[in-house]
Amino acid sequence: MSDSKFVARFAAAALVLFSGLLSGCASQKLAGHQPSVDSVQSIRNSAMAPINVGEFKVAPTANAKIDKVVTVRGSQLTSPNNDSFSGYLRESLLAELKSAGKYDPASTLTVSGQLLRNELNAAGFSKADASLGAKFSVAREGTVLFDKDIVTQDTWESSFVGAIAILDAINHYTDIYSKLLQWLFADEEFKRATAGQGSR
Amino acid sequence: MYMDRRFLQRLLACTLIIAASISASGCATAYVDGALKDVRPAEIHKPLRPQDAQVLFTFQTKGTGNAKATELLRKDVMTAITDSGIFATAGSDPSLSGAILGITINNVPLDDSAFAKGFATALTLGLAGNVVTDGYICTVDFIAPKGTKVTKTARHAIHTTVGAKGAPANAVKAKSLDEAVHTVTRQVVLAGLKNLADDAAFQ
Repeated sequence: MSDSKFVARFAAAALVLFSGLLSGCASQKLAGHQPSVDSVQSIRNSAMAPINVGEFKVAPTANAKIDKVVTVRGSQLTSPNNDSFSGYLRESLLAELKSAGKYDPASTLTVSGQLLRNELNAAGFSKADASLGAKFSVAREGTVLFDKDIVTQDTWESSFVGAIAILDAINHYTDIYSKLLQWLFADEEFKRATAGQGSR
Repeated sequence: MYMDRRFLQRLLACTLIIAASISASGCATAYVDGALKDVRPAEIHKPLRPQDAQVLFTFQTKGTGNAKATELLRKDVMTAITDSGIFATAGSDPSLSGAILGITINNVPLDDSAFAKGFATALTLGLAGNVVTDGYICTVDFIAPKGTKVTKTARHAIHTTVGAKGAPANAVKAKSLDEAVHTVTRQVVLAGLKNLADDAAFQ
């Protein structure tokens, strides 16, 4: 065997061996959104009227791919809601509103959304980050009361060990949906747009 | 070039040994820490008139929500709440009574060099045994319908030994890591609920 062939085979063998150790190399769906005590309490304590949840889709200005998959160290993360992250955002919002007792499918007040940004970067050995952004709209019987782009991001310590880095990335990426919704619920214009009749 | 090839052969051999030993020497044994007393439901002070509560459970890893683990352990948490007997009905429905019972379990590594320890054990084919300890901090928040909040905590731990390492002191061996996690979840939630029930503000 020539030296160059040997080197190539060595490199291939080492890659195969360590890829199993240092990464997850799999595709998995996110677990469902979990409303927290703090978020449920803040929605409950707000003057928000019961609200319906309308359509969520990827924004026409964004690349449609951001709705389908994010990757981390060769592993693919997909949404459990029709393989759509805008669908996952909708279900997350729905879970928050239901837990707070503020969801009413018969309400004339409706919140809808468009996914603008969806990024997960965990290739680095020391730092990783994710960002999520959406345009949220609130309308009552066709009249738009609120229309705003909200973007949030998170940065965390990563690891050179793939298995650790992937698990951390999944947790932080899933958690960023809670952060985005917390920004929405804390927005003063959103509060005014969704306030009950007697509160305005 | 001959030297290079011999070097690479040795490197490949080392690579094989390290990879195989990391995989094979991972004879991990889980132990449930014995410091937290296993609370029996009968020991929990029952309120005169138990009320309903909406349960919100979150499992965290190093303070960040871990949705997969939350799904996996939700049943254990709900069973512990029911067994405690301090609530009439506990469920996800927000209209139960207006009261909220928040249970948060945060898994925190008590040793940041877990991977380094495992790697050292693997390199010595298990001869250099090590123990890694994971802490579990359970925070129980009870928010009454009028907004009064009572917060209690309980702490637990799982010790995992790798390689030739004896059992940690004051710990109970689990059949598997999976069993240890379920046991710790039940015990730490019951301990947190007992602390809650002992508080006059809850009663």
